[in-house]
Amino acid sequence: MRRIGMILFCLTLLCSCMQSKNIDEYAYVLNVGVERGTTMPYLVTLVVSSPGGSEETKVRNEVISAEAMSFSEAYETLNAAYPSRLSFARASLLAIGEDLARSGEQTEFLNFAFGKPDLWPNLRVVIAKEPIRDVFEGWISEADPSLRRIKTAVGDLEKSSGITPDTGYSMYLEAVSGAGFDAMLAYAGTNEYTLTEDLPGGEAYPIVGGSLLVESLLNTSVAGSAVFDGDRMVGVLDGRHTMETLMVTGAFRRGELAFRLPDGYTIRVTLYRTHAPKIRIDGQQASVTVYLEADPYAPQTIAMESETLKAYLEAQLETELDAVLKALQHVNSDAMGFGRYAVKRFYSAADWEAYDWKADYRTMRVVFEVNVMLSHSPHDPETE
Amino acid sequence: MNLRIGTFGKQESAAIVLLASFIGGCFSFDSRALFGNGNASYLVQILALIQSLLLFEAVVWALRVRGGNDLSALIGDARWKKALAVPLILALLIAAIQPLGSFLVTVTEYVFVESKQVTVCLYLLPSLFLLTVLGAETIVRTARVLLPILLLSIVAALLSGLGQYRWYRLYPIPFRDPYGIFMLAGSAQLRTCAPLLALLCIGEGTQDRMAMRNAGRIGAIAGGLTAAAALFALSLTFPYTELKMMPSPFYRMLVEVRAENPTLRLDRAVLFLWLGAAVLIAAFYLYAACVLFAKTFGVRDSRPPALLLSGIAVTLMLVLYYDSELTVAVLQGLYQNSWALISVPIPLILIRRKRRTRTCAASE
Amino acid sequence: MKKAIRRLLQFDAPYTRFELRETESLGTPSFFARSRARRAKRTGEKGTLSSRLDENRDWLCECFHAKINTDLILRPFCIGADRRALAVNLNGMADDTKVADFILRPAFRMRETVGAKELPAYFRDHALSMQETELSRSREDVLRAITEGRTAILLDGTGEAILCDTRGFVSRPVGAPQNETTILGPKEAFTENIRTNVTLMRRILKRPDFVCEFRDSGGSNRTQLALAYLEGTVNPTLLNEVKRRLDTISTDMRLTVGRIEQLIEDFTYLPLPQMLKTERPDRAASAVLDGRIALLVEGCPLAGVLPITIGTLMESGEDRDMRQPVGTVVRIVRMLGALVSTYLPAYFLALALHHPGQLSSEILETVIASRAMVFLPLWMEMIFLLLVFQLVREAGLRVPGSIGHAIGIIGGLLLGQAAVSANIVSTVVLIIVALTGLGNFTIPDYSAQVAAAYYRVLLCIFATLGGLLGITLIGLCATAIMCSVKSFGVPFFTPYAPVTKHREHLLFSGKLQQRAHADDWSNTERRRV
Repeated sequence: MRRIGMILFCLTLLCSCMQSKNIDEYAYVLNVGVERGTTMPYLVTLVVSSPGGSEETKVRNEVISAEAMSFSEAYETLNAAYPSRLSFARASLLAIGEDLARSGEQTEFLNFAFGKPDLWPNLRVVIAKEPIRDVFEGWISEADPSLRRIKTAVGDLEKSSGITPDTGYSMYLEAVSGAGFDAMLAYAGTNEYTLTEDLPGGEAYPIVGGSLLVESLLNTSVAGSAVFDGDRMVGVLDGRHTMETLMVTGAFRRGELAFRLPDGYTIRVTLYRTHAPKIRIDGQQASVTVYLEADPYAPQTIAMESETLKAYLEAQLETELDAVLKALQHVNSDAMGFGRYAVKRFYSAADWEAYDWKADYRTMRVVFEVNVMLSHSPHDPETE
Repeated sequence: MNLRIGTFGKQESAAIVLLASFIGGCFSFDSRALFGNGNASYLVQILALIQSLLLFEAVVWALRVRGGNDLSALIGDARWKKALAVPLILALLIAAIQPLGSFLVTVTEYVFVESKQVTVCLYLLPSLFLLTVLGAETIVRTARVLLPILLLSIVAALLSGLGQYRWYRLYPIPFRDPYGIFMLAGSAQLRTCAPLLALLCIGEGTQDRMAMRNAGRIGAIAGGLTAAAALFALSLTFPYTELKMMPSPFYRMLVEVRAENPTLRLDRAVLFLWLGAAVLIAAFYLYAACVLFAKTFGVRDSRPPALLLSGIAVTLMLVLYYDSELTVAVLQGLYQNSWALISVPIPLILIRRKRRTRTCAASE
Repeated sequence: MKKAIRRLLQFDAPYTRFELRETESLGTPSFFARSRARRAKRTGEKGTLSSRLDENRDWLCECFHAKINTDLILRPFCIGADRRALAVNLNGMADDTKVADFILRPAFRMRETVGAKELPAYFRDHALSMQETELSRSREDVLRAITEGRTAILLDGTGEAILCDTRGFVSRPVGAPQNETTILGPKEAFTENIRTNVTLMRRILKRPDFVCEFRDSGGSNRTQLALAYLEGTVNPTLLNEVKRRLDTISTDMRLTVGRIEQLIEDFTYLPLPQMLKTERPDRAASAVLDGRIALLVEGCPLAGVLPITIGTLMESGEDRDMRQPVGTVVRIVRMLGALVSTYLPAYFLALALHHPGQLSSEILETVIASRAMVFLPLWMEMIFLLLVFQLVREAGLRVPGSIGHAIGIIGGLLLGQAAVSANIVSTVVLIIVALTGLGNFTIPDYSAQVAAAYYRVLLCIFATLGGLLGITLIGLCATAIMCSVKSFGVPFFTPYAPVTKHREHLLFSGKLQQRAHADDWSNTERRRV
């Protein structure tokens, strides 16, 4: 009986052998990009890491593209064209073309894409201003052939400079599903183009604070953010305004801003978040209190007392926050996430879903209060 | 009788109840029903736990009054004993396949994308059968051995997501509809009550009634609260709008940790660790059902019903999870109405048959 | 028909497996395993000697369990014409020549007559030609002297004993242990002579309740066996069960500890041992002090210790000699080594074949680059290398000393390098197998090492078939089977499952003060609680 049992046991397991492939039979996709195609609706671009033929050969990164009617079609086309089977298990960055994002057609496409291959929802998402192939090729360099750290670098940028948001695909999905805020995605472009964009409000300003003068291996930059209304991209914020938006969402950690003083001098201030922002919504009125610590640096002596400088910085930031909010309200994007506080008044999902938050948001009046604590006097010679 | 119950202590019994409560609480709910009307899953879990503990205390009190050791002693005293045992056996069977089915969906959706459910089921069957045949003593001791590792994995999973937790995701809390929450807790009762029911079935193996009662209390409260904490963490990670559409929210939670791990990703290792626990728990329920079946219907060995019930469980799981349309219809019915399989027979079991009382009085 | 089916399937058979219930005598352990201390009181050791020789003799027989303990030698003789005396010592511990030449012979020659009270001092001063003698009335002194190998001369009518130094152990050199080497522990090993082995243990266990019960094995060969234990400490149920099982042995085979283990164990097909085989007298003595039984076999330089638990298999002889923090670190390293050794190859296979996304990009690139020209599939490469490792290990063990070391070097370095150059195996897999091998050697018990080696291959097969799912389910089944196993009635995962009152940690080495008495998990009579 025991022997028969053992034989049956073994046979059962042999019948249920899972399909497997050797680790070296795959080519690993590192970045995935999707944009509008020229002849077909979608152009899918992948960066594939393919190790060389021997241990001495370096890993090569290749950019491959295919146009197709759907993601699965593009995937099959690329799979057929590439010598190894493509695996999405290590994909870490998703780029969406700006034209596609502005049409809002990417969500349906992505929902389907995430169902099928081994693609994980913890990807970082960026909006590409230029053709995705150019953006990806701008990242590929001899210095870091595997592109593996780009995802981490985008995330670190939010923490260290605040000029770009660190939004993952799941956060994007959450925003699209109506969780009370609109998505704000990192904005990527190559340095060869003039990175300017008009935000409704008429003012034109550069996306990246400066432009690279040194010849660099990497030609693609990530700065600023694309803001969404639901699943449709509606505008772009530059690095400075992204930082200010992040101050309200609570994601801001540290960043550096330049302020022009009334006497004509420019002062550089490194800002740190001291407490989470306090937001209160009462009907059509809202109040936002932001707490910051400022570390000012002026290359020349300025004739301003600490208290005056503090008041000036607070007033300046409040004005700018107000301007950003107005611009966002104009494009109907709640990138600052006021909806997350509005939902607290509801005790039933049905009531919340029946309530049109965006209608109220557009006309909502917000009072910004910025509390700046100067870490030292601007006269202090120890700075920097 | 060769039921292979064996003897086990309080810690082992508490360990299996704890694990079963946690696995049941976290891996066998119907997302659509639980998160359909907002995010109060953790409250539902705690309410269901209180309801189950009340039921458990009632049964233990009846055992103390009548001098029995396990549930079958009470069933033996009740009227229509076979009719009352059948829904309980069914309840244990459903409690066994619910978490396994949930894992089956996760594994085929996210891990073995190219494999079919039947392939995964063929893996589960031999282990389920082996564990059920080895008996209660082995199952509870295995639970005791695995408990620290599993608790560590749970704590690690909850802590690793710390950076993703946001308070606003808890809203809207459906306080306006307390009746709805109470009804959800009622339908979640199988998840919290099944571990205690199974413990009552194998009560003969615990050292005495008091040991069984204490183990049941400690295990159910610890497991229920751990599950509530995990559900709370889940509510902080995803909004209810996403949760109600999500097939395997806990696995998604593991994957959510965004930072690129420099060496290894451990989400699948943790998933399979939990799957192992689910298999153990399923074997525990199936074994308890075997004992109940054997004692009620006079079968003198636990192995034939173990073979039978393991087979039925895997077949049911395949049928239920193979076809998506059928799954939606049948599973929703099962999840929402499974409470009746426990809540109806237990009060009836507590009522003693009159003839028996007379016999007892005469003997006294 | 029904009967036949029932018999065929073995259903309805009574559950006859022997087990020591944790409830046996002390009641149920509390939830957090704390308990009231209980210590049995030793009797008969305190007090003074009787003036009547017969009473003293009876007392000694009782103390040393003379009916079953044939080690005790009681030599009655007369001093002069009519003074009755008794020389008492332990066989193998005392030198026979010294007793005959310097105690018995002068006693027989003595002609003077002195009073009973003066006799001990007179006999010592005028007859005994020994360097070290001592007069004592204390029973405790007498017992200590006898267990140390001295001879106690008890004189009728005096109530006083003369303790003579007759210590003389076996002259055959006792070698150092070959397999269980330690740095801090003693360097003695058992020999093939059962008497020598008993003496080696008795030199460590200087107490009267240490009993060596000699008995013959069944079958025509009648091999001599000895059960060494502490009377009054060991669980009598366990002792009787071991004796019962030894009585069932009926074979003409030459018996060794390993063979006896297989003949009397419960789970024949389990790869893990159910009896600890040690070549170190100190380890066997420690086990005996913990309330376990040591089985010695004539002609076998090993002692079998029973019952055992998973902790026993993972414990090295010198664990208790190390300081607490260092001991803990050593244990953690050992457990990690064992885990790596068992699960690493299978885990790697599962990730590489089924879940490559779980490996980081750097590791993926390294693995892929190292496998660039290897023609074997990964699973075959892994199993092939694991078998080669076993081959090198077996070869190194079987060939004589210096060549054995050479084979390890040749196998490890040359063969590995050649295999990589020939593109038969990849460097990453080679490193994994080498790590596995190293980890395997951290398991202190040889039988457990071999069991782990085969379990590893099984895991690799299931990792190939079902990835992490296969590993999980096989791991679960293996854990469950180990939880169901009992070594002579003691569950294998004691004191974790079932929980007992005293729990010595597998990882953390506790204070030595906590180890004052015997283990409680086999329900010893004088237990540590």
